[in-house]
Amino acid sequence: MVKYKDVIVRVECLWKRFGDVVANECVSVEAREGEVVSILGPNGAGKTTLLRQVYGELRPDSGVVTVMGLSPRKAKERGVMGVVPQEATPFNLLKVREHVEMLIRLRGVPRGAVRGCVDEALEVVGLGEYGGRLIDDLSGGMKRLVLVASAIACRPRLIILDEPTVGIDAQNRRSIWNVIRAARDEGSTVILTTHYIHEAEELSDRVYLMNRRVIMEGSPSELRKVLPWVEVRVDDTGETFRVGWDEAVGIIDDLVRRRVRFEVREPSLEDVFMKVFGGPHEAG
Amino acid sequence: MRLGRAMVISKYLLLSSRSWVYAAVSFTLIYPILWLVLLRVVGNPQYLQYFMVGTVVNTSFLTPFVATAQDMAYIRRGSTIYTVLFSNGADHWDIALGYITQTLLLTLPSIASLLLLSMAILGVRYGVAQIMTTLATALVIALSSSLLGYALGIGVRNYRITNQVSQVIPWPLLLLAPVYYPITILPQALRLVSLALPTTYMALAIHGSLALNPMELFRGLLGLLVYSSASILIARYAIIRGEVNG
Repeated sequence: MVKYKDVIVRVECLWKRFGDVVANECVSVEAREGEVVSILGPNGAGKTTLLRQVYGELRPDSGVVTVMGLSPRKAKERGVMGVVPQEATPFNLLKVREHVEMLIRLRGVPRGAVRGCVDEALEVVGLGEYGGRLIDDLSGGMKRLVLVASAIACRPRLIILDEPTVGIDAQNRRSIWNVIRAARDEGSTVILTTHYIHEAEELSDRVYLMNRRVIMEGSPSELRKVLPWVEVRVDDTGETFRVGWDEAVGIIDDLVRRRVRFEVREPSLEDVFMKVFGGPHEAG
Repeated sequence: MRLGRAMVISKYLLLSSRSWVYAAVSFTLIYPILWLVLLRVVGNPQYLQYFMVGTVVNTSFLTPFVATAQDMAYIRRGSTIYTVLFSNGADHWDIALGYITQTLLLTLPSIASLLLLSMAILGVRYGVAQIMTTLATALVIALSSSLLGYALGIGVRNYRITNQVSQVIPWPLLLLAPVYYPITILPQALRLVSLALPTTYMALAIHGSLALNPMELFRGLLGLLVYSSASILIARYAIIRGEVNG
């Protein structure tokens, strides 16, 4: 049984409508201390609307959101959240260091601790050398890193990253992954939305699949078990079989005896996603 | 609202406007000089004091209103800077006050400079009391107008519409009210209309400040009290509407 104090974010049956459009339909989500929780869903699934209610920018029509047992507004006042909103852009006319400093100070970090936090955050995301540069002069990916550095600086208890790796090259994406892992290891809770399913699979302790309402929830391995197959691909012929484990054992045994090259692949989170939300295969 | 957070926002907004230093210098020095020289050359001496009042009203009302509305519209709707600030600890009122403070820091020196330069260029005489009272009144006008601009900026979803509307609203208010001329030269019907315009009371308060006329100043400030209260209520409404409708 998880103690209440361990739950950092609790969302209970949250409803949000914009006119006739229902964005969130009795959504319930929980994120515990030191967890990375990913929220996945197709475009327009209400992920960002949900997060905007968690950080208090939107008022729910009904339902409850608490952050460390407080209303989002109170929690924000106490400086527990570091957030990278969707499609966020930094203040381009500030220097990198100033931007990180500004958001830390908005979170109420004492003046004396600011400098150390800025240095550490810039080092962690690999922008140590760029502190004095104008953000306007950086590439799009590096601007994104400035936002991530600003959100994680001084290790807030809750870090919300809404599609933090959109439009970022593989190298910088890996940097952000490392930052997320490090934050989790130091006890921060991270809520992540992403369209890169592999990213969620790599990083998450728990995943919510949602499309206006939560459809499935569990750890990546729990969710993968929903699909009871393994894929066997025979290299020589290019044939692919999706079969149950019992049947796969027989096929593999046969392929080994015939000395045929093959690959075995378990279902990925992306397969689950496609199954739940429909994809090219299911549509066909 | 927490004053400390508002001041943080103000500080970094000022830092981010370092690229606009030429505009700031122009607004604080070059614009008043050119305007006053123009008044000296072609202005009717009979209306000179009204033109001074009009210029102070223009600077303390129009500039903060338009600048705040357009900047806020961009910060809130054209980019996500507002959300970055909000989600990382600032409240709506922190952002409003932070932005307004930096606007005031850019506007008030321009008014002070206008008043001081007018003594050299136009030969008018203002004492310390007149200048301080006028600056205090201009501060109230700029604060309320900036807050109204904030409400417009965050309230309208399409920031391009805000950019246009913010330029359309002030002009009738400046031209239909007795801002650049005495109310006595208005036809009777327009006089009644002008009584409903906040700019009439802005002009009254500034005129009362420059002339050190307590009655005129009091009537003007009474009108400004209504204007300020309306600005606060409209801003509050825009904030709540934004939280509900996104």
